[in-house]
Amino acid sequence: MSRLKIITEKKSKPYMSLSPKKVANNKTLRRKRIWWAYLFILPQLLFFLVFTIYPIVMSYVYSVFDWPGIGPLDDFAGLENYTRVLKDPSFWNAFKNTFIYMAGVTLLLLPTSLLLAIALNNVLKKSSVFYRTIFFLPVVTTTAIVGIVMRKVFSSTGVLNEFLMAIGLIDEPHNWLGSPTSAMIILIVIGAWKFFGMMMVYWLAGLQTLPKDVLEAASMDGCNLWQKLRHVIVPILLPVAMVILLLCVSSSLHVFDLVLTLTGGGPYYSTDVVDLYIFRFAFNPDSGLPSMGYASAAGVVFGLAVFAVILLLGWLIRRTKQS
Amino acid sequence: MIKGSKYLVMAIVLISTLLIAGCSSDTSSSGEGDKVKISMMIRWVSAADIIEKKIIPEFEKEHPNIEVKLQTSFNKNYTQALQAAVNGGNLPDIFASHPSLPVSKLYDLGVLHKLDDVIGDDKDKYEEGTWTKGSTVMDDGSIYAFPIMSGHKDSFVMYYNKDILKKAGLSEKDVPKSWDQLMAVSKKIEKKTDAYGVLVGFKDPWVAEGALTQMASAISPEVLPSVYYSPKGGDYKYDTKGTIQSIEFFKKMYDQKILHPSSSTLDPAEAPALFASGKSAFLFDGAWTASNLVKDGFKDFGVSFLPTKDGKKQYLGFQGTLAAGLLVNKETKHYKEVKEFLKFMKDKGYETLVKNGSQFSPIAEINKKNASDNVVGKTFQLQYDTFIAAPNPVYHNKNVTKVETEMSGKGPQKTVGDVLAGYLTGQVRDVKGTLHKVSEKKNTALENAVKEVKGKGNKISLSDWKFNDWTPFEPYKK
Repeated sequence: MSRLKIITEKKSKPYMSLSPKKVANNKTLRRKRIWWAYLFILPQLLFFLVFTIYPIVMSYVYSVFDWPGIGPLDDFAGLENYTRVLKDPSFWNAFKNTFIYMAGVTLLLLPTSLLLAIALNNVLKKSSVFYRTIFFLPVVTTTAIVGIVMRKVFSSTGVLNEFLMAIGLIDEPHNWLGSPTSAMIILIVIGAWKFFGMMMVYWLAGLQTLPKDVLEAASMDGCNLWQKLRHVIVPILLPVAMVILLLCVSSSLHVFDLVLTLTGGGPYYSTDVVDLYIFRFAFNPDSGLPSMGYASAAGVVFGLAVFAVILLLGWLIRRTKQS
Repeated sequence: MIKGSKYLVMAIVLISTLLIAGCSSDTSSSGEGDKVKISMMIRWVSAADIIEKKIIPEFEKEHPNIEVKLQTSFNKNYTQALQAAVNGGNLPDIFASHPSLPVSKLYDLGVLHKLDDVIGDDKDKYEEGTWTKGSTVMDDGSIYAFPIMSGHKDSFVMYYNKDILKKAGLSEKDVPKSWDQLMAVSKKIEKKTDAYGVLVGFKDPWVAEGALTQMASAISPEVLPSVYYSPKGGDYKYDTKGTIQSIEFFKKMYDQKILHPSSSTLDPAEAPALFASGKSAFLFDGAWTASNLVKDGFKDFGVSFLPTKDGKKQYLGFQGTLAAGLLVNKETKHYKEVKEFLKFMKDKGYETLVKNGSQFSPIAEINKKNASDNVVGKTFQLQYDTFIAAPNPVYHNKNVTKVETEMSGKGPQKTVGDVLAGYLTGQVRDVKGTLHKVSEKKNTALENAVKEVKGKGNKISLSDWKFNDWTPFEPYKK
């Protein structure tokens, strides 16, 4: 620590005013500092190479083989897996459902979490820690457990039906997860609820950066809450909002455990998503050997689609920042 | 800086030590004298408890120098665990077979140990069809799988709640045999009690499909239920009269609220629990559920064959497929001890499994002597009787296993269970058309796979799938 401090201090002195010997010493120290920096980066870099880059590269390799996930890669299939994926209506059904889920979660999550964050930042300031904890609880709860519990809640014999029958809204239990539309809506609502706390924290972080003088000036000019929100808060928060949007989109495009435990992709594939589709082929075939090569091809196709979406959002973020 | 480096080195040493300690294998000899540890990984819920609490302790008592370390991995997790173990070269000494990673594939990869000396002269004691090529016996004529349960599994049965029948003024004599009877009895039950008529947990559609396909066999016996293989036609046929009418019967039960409304969202474990709590009079489920119900404390139930359209006989084809087997890692360092354990399984383990209501063993004599006369024993007897020996294309040509491997993942993804779920929710309107497409996709996959395997120089043709000498309901003699 002290040594690094010395190095930093010494670096700040201009070389021109030092003797050649001191300049040489400074250079040596700078080199040492760089080596230390690399040493600290090394573990993360190794993890990144082994657990991110290697699987990505290998999924491209597997995707051109007819490979069940065990044994040697000796059955080269060329682009056959890709052709099969692109021609498979079930893949496009899962693809469509994934984007419906993403759009639903994003549209539901972003405005509601922003409103609550504003409320916590202004109106509920005194008890904000309590509310933050309450809303953050689902984030730290295991998604698979949430799925299992919610399946019980929404089942015909579950709490929701009992409650609705008790207050007289329905006469007989409704199978909420047994109908394609209600199953997707429930999935979206629970997915949004699960990550509500996280989005709220992102918004709160953004709200903390709002310049107080601008808000005060707006108040002095007679702006009401809606006008402040519309003309001051949202425009200033827009770059932050774009980053939050990016995070929300990318995480919801990879929904898996919630679908697996809550609906299993049903009824009749109406809530099937791409990650679940890939899982079925890679690890859980209905019959016969797993198809790791095919699953990898599906993963690559979907990965490219997600990458395109992220690029588009990245471009939007840049445009927003520039404007 | 030197002080800092010391801490860094110490931390690295500490983490490395922990990692090495955590990853170290315990299959080698331990420090307790000459005690040898053998590892075992299984996947059967019904057998795991009995193996762990009864068979292993008995074995270790008889063989104090051997310790069996049991690891269980159920349902969907097992395939992943096995894939990882094969790829990582760290298979346990003994592990369970799984249909997703067939014995023939593992044999091709060279990871299996021969087991001829385990079975020895007892080969003839096993039920007919046990030693089928490509199933337990491989190309070199040796045995590579130790069958742990009878090949006559898994069938579906109908459980009934005796108490609900009594409350509705009915007795076991009123247990329905036909669809019309089931509808009539269920309506009576729903009028007189709070229970629904029928419960089938088909969040995982294979459960409903299992029951449906067995019911369909009474209408269209020319197609082997569950595999949809037509031995006379030499092809696959999903759109049979039997399957379509059975799907329509499920829809009728659903529309008339005979079927419990939660059925489509219940997983295979939840449905029996709901049945045991008195929410329905009848439960369509696998034979394995009987022992689970008893284990969970519910005993007031009976069992019968599933009702069929006109009360006619139903069946499942036994094609010599390995239903549940133990395999041995070729690289095991303790084959002598592994062999001891498998011999113990054969001599005493089968008996213990049957007595404790796991499943029937592959040796009929043991089942006769040890099966209990309670509802669990009766269920397994019904299951056993449901199976009839049927043709398997592998009887014609051993290269059929290569075709099956080639077909993996290329057939239809939609199952009959999926079509049923889609029909119940209104997403599938044309059942016959949808099933016809499933048949077409399966047959195209078969034709392509035969071409592919033939192209690699193997002798094979579609005629290997044809069996003109087979008659439905008559045991097929190879």
